[in-house]
Amino acid sequence: MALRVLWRWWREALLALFRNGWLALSAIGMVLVSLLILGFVCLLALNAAHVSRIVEEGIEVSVFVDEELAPDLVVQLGKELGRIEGVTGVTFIPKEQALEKLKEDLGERSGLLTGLEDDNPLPDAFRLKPEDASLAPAIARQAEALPGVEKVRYGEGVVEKLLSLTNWVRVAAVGLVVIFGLAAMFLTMTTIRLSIISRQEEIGIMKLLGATNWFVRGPFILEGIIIGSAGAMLAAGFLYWGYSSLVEQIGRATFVFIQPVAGSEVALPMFGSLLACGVLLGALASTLSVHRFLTV
Amino acid sequence: MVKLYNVTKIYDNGIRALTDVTMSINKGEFLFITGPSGAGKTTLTRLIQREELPTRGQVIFDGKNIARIRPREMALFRRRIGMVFQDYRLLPRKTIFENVALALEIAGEPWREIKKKVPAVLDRVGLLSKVKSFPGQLSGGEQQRVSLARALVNKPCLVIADEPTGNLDTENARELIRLLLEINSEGTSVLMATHALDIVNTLGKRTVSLDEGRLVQYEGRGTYRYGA
Repeated sequence: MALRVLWRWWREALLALFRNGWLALSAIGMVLVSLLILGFVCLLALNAAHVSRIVEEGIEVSVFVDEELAPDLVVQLGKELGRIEGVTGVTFIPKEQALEKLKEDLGERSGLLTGLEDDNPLPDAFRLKPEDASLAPAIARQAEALPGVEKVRYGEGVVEKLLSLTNWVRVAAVGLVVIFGLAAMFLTMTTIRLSIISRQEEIGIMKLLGATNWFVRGPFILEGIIIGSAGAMLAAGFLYWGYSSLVEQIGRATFVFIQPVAGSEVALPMFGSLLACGVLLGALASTLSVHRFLTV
Repeated sequence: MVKLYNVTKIYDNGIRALTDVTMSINKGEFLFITGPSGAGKTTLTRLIQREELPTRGQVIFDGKNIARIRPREMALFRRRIGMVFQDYRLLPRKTIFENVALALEIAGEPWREIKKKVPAVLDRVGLLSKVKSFPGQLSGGEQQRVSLARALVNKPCLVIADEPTGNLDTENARELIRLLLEINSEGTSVLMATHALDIVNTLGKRTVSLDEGRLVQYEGRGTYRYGA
C-alpha cells in the first residue's frame, strides 16, 4: 500500500514536471540563480573569516627582559609568563638571536651594526602566543607587572584596530549570508508557489472527487523537492567549478600572502548545505502553497 | 436517500441563495431541479456534495447529517457521489485515461483494476478511441462524456449533474441525457440541475423548481413553466 502511494507520487510528480516543462525549467533556473548568489556570498563570508583568523593568529606579545636580571631568574620569568591566563606558547629569544634577526632585516645596511656583537644593546626577549588575539592587551598588562620585565610590546593601537576590523568583517559576513539567505528563500518559495497556483483548479477538482489531502499534497511536495534539489545541485556544481578555478589562479599569483580556503575543502559542505537548502525550500514552498487550496 | 430539511443558505457576502428548502431525492430516482439562473440550483448541488454547509437546516445523506462528517471521512463520502459539471472540470494536463483513472486512484483501486475499468467506462460513453488525447483536443460534448465517465467509474449511488448540457448542442445534449437515463435504469439515482425546459418536459420525470431560492414546485412531472 505505502509502496503504491510512493510510486504514484513519483509518477505524478515526474509527469507534472515533464508536462509543465517550461514552468519546471524556469522554477529550477530560479532556484539555481538564488542559491548561486547565496553560495557565492557564503564563500565570500567563509574566506573573510578565514583571512581574519590568519591575521589574528599572527598577533604576538613581546616581553623584553631587564638586562640586569640573572640568567636563572630569566628562566624563572619564562615559566611565570607561561602561567599567565590565555598564553598558549612562550618562545625565548636570546639577545644574540635578536641581533642576527635585526641584521637580516637590515640587509645591505647591516654594516651599521658591526662592532655591536661584543656589546649587544638588545635585550633578551620572550614571545608570547595568545590563545585569542583579543587577549593580547590583558596578557601584556599582566606580563608588565612581573619583576624583571623591562618592556612589553604587542602592537598597541594597531592590534585594537585590527581586531575591530576583523570583528566587523565577521558580523558583515554573517549579515550578508542572512540577507541573501532570506532573499533566496523568498525567490524560491515564490517561484514554486506560482507554479502551484497555476494549477489550483486541479487541486479543487481532486478534492471534489474525494481525494484526501495527502493524495493531493504528496506529488506536489515531491515536485517541489525535485525542483529544489535540481536547482541546488546545479548551483553547487557551478560554484565548485568557479571557485576552484579562482583559487587555482590565486595560488599561482606570487604577491598573495594569505591563501583562500581550498576548493576541495569547501566542496562537500557546500554541496551538502545547498542541497539541504534546495530540498527544504522546495518541500516547504509546495506544502505551504498547496495548503491554501486544500480547504474545498 | 438525500433529504433537505428547512435548508437556508446565505453566503458570506450576504447573498441569500436558498430559503427554507425542504425536499428529498429517493433511491433510484431521476430528479430534475429547474429554475432560472440564480434560482439556487447550483447552491443546492453544492450543499448535497458538502462543498458548502447550510446556514440553517440540515442535509441528510443516507441517514447521516453531512454537516457532522469529519474531515477524515469527507473523502470517503464524496466518492459515493459522482459529479458532472457544466464546465466539465477535467484536468487539462492529464490524458482522458488519466482523468478517469484519477477517480479510481482516489478511491484506492489497484492499478490492474484501473486498467480494466477505465477502458470499459470510456467504451460505454463512446470515447475508447480517445484514451490518449488531452481534454483540450476534444469537443465540448466529448469532454462532458469524459466527465460523466469519471463520475460513473466508481459506481456511485448518486450522480449529480449541474447544467450538464449547458454548453452542448442538441445532439450532444441528447446523447448525454441518454447516458444519464441508462445509468439511472441500472439503479443509480440522478439529480440533474438544468434550465433546459425542453429536456425536462420531454422526459416527464419528477421536477423540483426553484425561484429566487425558494421551492415553487415539488411534485410535478415535467411540463412546468416558470416565470409564466
